[in-house]
Amino acid sequence: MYYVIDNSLLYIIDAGTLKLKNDSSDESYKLTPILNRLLVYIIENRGRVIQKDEFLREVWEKYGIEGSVNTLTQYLSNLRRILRDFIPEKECIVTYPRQGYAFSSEIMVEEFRNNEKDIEHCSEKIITSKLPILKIVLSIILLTLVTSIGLYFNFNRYTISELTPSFLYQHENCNVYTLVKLDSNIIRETNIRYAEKIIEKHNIKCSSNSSFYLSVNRGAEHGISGNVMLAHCTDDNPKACVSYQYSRW
Amino acid sequence: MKKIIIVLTISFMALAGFAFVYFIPKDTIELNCTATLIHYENREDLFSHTSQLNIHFKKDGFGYMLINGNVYNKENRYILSRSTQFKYKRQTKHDSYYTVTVLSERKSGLDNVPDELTQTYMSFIVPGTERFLKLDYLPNDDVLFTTILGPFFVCDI
Repeated sequence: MYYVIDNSLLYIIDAGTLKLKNDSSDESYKLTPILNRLLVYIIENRGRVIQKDEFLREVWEKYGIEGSVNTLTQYLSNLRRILRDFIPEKECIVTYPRQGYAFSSEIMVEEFRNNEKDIEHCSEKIITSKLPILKIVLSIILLTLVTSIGLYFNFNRYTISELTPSFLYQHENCNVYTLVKLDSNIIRETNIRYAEKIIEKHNIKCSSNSSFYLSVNRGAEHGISGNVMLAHCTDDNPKACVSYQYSRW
Repeated sequence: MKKIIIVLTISFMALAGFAFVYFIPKDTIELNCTATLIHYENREDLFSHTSQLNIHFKKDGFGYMLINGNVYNKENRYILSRSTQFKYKRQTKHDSYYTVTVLSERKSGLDNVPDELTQTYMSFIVPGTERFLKLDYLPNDDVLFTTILGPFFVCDI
């Protein structure tokens, strides 16, 4: 059995829990057994003023516990504070001086039995309230996933890109690579001639761990004035690269 | 349940954020390399220089280059020994194209290369010069410097 207080606070008696009706979380406020009995009693007897002796008898003595007026005052004060946390704008427990206490008549209390219809009604409410949050969370996850995948494919991880030169020929034991795309065998032959010319001119020795990188631009390829660059790099320790650059060659 | 969903969502978004930062290209680089450049102008070898270059690209978008060597022009030989400061900026999102602007130079006492020669043949060290530069890693982890005229030199890291 449970109560809905002021159309907003769900009070489940058996569990002794309080939670806001529109709160879709599993969290709720758990009352102590005495506070639970006190709240049940004051709600069940709403519409009339309950004297302090009656409270002490029904909530404490009936359960084999000795209570006192001070204890009752303390518990009622705690219960007021708890209820105020959920329904801040209204005072649920009203004090009648020299008479006792009563549950406020201004606050509506609906009583529900735990039959199937009620459970279904309650579950439906919870599902309805949970659905938008789930939708939002799933949308965020999907959006982030799509964005991340998009970024992964659109952007290069490296700020300096990588270049893969093409093998041109072998000079002694060294591989000579070309840094530009070769369109034909004639251009390939021209490139080889330029490489050999520079190697011979500078008397470059080929060591086992070295390689050459050649670039002949279009002008030079066709015998017109152009730029040629041959880099001789060795992986020996220390590593070194010597670049031979010919402008307007 | 709600807590678990929130924790999972935050973790997922943190991971995605990390991926974003990791994969997004950065505008600046950190690169230190050394190159030896032997440069000839014209077939008749009217001008040439043999230089050792120490190049430093810093993360703040600035850098400097130390250049030492010899410059030959006709019958004359000069000593080249100076440093230049430059700023650089990434130009494209997908490739490593940069605009490099030489901001200043500082010559050592030994440097006696006439300004006309550097302005004509070695503009890449003259203050105020802006060059379009492409940087590429080669398979041996060296870096190829390419200008609009084509590959310029290979710099060893």
